[in-house]
Amino acid sequence: MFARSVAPQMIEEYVDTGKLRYVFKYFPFLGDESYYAAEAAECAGDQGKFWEYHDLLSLRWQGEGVGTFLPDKLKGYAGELALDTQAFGACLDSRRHEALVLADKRDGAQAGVSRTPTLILNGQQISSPRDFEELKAIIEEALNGGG
Amino acid sequence: MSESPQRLFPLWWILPVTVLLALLATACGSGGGGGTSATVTPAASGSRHVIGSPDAPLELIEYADFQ
Repeated sequence: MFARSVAPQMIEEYVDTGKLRYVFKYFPFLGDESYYAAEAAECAGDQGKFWEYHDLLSLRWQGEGVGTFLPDKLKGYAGELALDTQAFGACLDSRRHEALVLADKRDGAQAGVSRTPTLILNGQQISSPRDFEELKAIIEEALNGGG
Repeated sequence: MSESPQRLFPLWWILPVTVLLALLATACGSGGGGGTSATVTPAASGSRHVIGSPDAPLELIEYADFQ
C-alpha cells in the first residue's frame, strides 16, 4: 500500500527537502466504503486533521469491503484522533463533501486514471512502484532531467 | 491642541492585532503527512491536500482509494 509502505520515506527524503510537492486526490472506485472513507477524511480536514486521519486510515486498512471503513468505524477513528466526534458524525452523515470527492474522481478519470494508486509525476503517469527504491529511481531520473 | 483619546484609539491596536493574526495563521497552517512534519502549501493542481514547497521542481499527484 503506497500510503503505508512508500509515502513516508518519499516525504522524508524528497518532500521535506524541497525537491517534491505531493498532492493527494481521491479516486474511490472499489465500493461504498471507498466513498465513506474519502468523505470522512474531508470531515477530519474540516477540523484541521486531514493528514492525521489519512495516516490513520492507512493503518486501519485491512482489505477491500471488509467493513473497516463503514460509517460507524470511521466515526470511531475520529474519536481516536480526539476530533469533535459530534461535528464529525454530523458531517459524515450529511455527506456534505460528496461533491468534492466526486470532482477529484472526475479529474482523475479525465487524466486517464482507472485504478489506484495512480501516480502522476510532473504531468506524466508513472507505473505504480512496488517499493520506495523503485519510486526513488524514477524521482532521481526526473530530477536529473530524464523525466 | 492635542488629539482626543477617542480619535487616537482606533490606530494603536491595528499593528499588534495584525501581527497576532499572522502568527495564528502560520501556526494553523502547519501539518503532517505520512507520519512526518511537512510544510502545507496552498492547494496546487486543484487539490486541497498538498504538502511540500510550491517551488519544488517536481510534483507528484497520487490518486487514491482508501480501500
